[in-house]
Amino acid sequence: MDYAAASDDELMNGMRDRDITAFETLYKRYADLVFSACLRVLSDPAMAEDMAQEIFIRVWRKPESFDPERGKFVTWLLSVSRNRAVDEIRSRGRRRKHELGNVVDVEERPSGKERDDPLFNAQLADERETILKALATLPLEQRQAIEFAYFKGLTQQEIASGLNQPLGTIKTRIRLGMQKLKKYMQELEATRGRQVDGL
Amino acid sequence: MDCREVEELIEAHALGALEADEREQVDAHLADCGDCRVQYEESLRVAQSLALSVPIVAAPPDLFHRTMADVHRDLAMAAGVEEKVRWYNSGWSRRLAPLSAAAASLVAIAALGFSLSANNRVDDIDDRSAAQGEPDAQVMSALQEQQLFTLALAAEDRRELDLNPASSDVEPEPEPEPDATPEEVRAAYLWAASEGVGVLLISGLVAGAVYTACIETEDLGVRAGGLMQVFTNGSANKAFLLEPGDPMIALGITESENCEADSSAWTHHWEIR
Repeated sequence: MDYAAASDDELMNGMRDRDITAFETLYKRYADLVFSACLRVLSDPAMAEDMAQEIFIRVWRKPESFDPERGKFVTWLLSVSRNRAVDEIRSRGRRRKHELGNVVDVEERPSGKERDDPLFNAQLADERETILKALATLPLEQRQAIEFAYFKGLTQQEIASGLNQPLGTIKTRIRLGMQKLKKYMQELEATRGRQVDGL
Repeated sequence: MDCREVEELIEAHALGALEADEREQVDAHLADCGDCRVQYEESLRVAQSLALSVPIVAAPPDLFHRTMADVHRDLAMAAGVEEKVRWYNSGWSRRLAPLSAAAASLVAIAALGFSLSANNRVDDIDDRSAAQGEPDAQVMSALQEQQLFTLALAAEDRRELDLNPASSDVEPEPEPEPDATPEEVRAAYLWAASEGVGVLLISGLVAGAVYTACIETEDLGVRAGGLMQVFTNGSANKAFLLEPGDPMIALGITESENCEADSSAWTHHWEIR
């Protein structure tokens, strides 16, 4: 197998046959993303490192957990990362009001993957740009409510309490914000589709 | 809940922001309503893409080492002894020198010094890896050392690597001298693939001195393997563990607090041939 050129699905198939090089290739492809997702949720580099290690070991031990018919590998991997990290902070009871803090507080340190890995560019850069652009269109309070929910694992009620806002206000912010994101992403994808068709 | 009520909650559900009772009611509706399920899946796709918006932060280099060590251990444990040996040899056969009587005697001496007990096992070896980066935390307790050393010695697939002489793999292995002078620093390395534990045995060091154990590997270069405090049990031996996650180039010790980037600058170093 040409590991560097192999798709994520091909590498996952290799892992089902206990191919350690396939695992190592996937690790190097996504370690920064997984670590970054864990760090965003946990806000603690040491905990994020432990969590990222646990997630990769889970992928190694149970590659069959990923079903390629249900979506892309990277989407699944990041969902697993986020969900496990959220479970961790919930289990540690770190959902107190004073810990709401700021979710946009992590300094970005580019890892070089964007430059070095063509697959990272091809598969993720567009999607990352899309969601960043979409988020940038939201009013701050809508984005904040959405990110508290997704990255801190807070319920609407907890966000309302934490921000000292009425529950109805938080529900509206989340609903409107998500609908805007959905609409923006659908329009952008449709535009890209037309550009591809016109080539 | 009817469709109108569920539509109000679909986005929050996709973000995981519903209370448990709300979530159960929405899930029950989604199980029976295709239209709402389509809407939910669209919202879920948006929610999942949020993970791509995180600032990209480079994963710590040690994460790779730790993760691969776990994977190698898993592979060896799952495959059984024969496979373990084959895996061990596949990475190390060209570098292995025959086990010499000198190394065997070192093992025997050290085993006595550590009161070998098969009951002492360490359930979470990675506690030590997690402690790396904090010099104070790198000093293991005598009990931890004993447990890890016992683990390596007791492993069925343990292999011993005689590190002397370091400079040549052409010359035949010299016969050990039974009355070797105490001043001669000699080393052997034990590697138990199934346990993911390596132990560096050194004799002839100055009693009471403190060294930093160093390791140089192909992927990660030079790094500290931990602090090593030499103690006397009659022969100034000391065992210390190192856990290579990738092929090793050199092992050694330095009197400095940090390992010099050039392994030849270490107080004692042994190249792996």
